[in-house]
Amino acid sequence: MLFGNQGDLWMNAMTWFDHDTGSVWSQVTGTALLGPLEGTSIELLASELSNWSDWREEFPDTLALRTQTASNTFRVKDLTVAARVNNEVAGLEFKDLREVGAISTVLGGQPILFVADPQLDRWAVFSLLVDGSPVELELADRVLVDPVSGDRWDPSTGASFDGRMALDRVPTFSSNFNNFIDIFPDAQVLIEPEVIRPIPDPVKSYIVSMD
Amino acid sequence: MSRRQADGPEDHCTLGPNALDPVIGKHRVFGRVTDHMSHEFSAPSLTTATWVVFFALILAACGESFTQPITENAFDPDLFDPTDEPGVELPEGYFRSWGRDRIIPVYDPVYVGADGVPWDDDEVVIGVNINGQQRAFPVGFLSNRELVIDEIDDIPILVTW
Repeated sequence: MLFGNQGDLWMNAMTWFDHDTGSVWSQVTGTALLGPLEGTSIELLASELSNWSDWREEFPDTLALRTQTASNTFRVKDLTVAARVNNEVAGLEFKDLREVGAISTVLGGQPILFVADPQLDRWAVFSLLVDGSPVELELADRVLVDPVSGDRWDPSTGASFDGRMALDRVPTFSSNFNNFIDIFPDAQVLIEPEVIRPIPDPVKSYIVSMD
Repeated sequence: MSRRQADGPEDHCTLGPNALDPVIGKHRVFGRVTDHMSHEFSAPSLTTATWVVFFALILAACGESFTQPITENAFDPDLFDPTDEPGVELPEGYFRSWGRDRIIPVYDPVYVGADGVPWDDDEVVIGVNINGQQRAFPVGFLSNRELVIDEIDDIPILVTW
């Protein structure tokens, strides 16, 4: 299915149309709002926000969208970070996540872990099912550790340092907090913001598959 | 709920220009739209200085966009649009705006290797890693074009900001 820019706004965010049926879709939910496909959703895929230098260092063979300039004033630390599992949503402000390092919850029946690198503006959400069994992980010295087995994983990539399976990434997206609770009023808010403040530039980013 | 009071009850229904323009940089691309430009240029209050600034913004926006293909008229103008239906009931918080593909998605993205882009180290990118293939999409660019349509390893993806 091919998508285009509908040009309208819903919940302060862009809308799309699909070239097959003309249905109108929401960017923030990935669900058709109007038209023949109303109520249909497309899948949210795992992705991450990263600084270019970190991404490039981790993936030297990465391709880059050819653009000449890309400067902007946006910063990851201003975002609310969120995950979606089985149509349930959980999130918290990135600055709070960075302060605690890691925080777990059960979302859509699945144990998951939000984790932020304390020294970088990077974050990820992983499933806490390893080989089908739930694990509890702690963040220590920039490494995720299973205190029972001693096994360790990379908190940015989910790769194992001990030959175990990599942690599965959970589909994530980002928003600002005010938009987040408007659009997902039933979402788990893992840490309530201490200060309510207007945020000037609502932003969001996520990746969806289109089949 | 107390955490929502800061914005007031009409938060997502407010129709001011800032509230309606959630994507950083959209105004720069908006300047490229022909009929909007004509309107702006005919405004009697514009001074020469304003013209220069406005034109510079247009050039800046176009210069950036030209690094990716612009697919004109990609959609069928007769394609069904449910928002045009008589008596349509739009969802709460829905606001009709300037129309389809006036900000044109990147339908046919072009990539280069990591050495082929001049981005600063602290440039924020959306990173995608599917089946061992990675792509980086700078947020600053996506603020202008909003959508990139692509496939990775035969998996269709849509990257959006």
